[in-house]
Amino acid sequence: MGNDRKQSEDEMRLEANSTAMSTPPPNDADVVLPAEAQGLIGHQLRQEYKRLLSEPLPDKFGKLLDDLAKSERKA
Amino acid sequence: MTADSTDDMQGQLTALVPNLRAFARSLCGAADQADDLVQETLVKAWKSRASFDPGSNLKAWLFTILRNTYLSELRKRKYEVQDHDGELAEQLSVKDGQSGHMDLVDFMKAFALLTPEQREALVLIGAEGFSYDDAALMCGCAVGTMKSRVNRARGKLAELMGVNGAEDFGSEHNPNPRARAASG
Repeated sequence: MGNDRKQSEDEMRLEANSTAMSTPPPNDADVVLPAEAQGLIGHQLRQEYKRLLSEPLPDKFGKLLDDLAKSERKA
Repeated sequence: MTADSTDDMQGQLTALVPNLRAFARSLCGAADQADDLVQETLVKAWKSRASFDPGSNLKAWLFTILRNTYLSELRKRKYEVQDHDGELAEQLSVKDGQSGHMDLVDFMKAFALLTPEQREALVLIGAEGFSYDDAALMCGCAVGTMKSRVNRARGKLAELMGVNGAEDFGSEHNPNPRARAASG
């Protein structure tokens, strides 16, 4: 836990340093979330994306690609 | 194109349809609109496949076609985007005005409230695992811009979802005034 906090502080410092060197003015985009919040959001994002990836596919995509390949072979 | 390379391309495109669909759904939400977007992407990819460098990343190439198609459609239907942005701004201003009193929402609702660029950045980096460099190339922006979009997206999600610790990171708040001084 203590290490996490230390790490996230280091990250913020790093972020601040890189901000100081780049031209755009610092704003909320430079804020780094605490590691725990970032981890939670990343986990939920991957979970929802996995759900989308595993949705059953309608036939129309396979058919479209078949048609495209067929028209290619004829040509 | 030989019969073999036609089969090969067909096979590779088929294998990536689930990813194209998931990416399209992340961008535009509505399932039927997302499927139209995937179909359009497949047709465009097929027609211009001669321009694809076989040594490069096919998924990145397809995703680029898909997001460009999506964004040019968004530009065509600009009034809808403005409506959506207005809605979003309204919700966010409620949060700014009455800090901490907004109803917290679940991940999917919060995700839908991000801008298309933020959703895109988050999915490319956080879900698909593209590097910041690759994602920036795909979206035609600077690497720093890509990083900012991801950070903003995470920050907004944390705020909307009320994830612990996010309250300390309001949008007006600059965590490190020294950074501003150092850059000025």
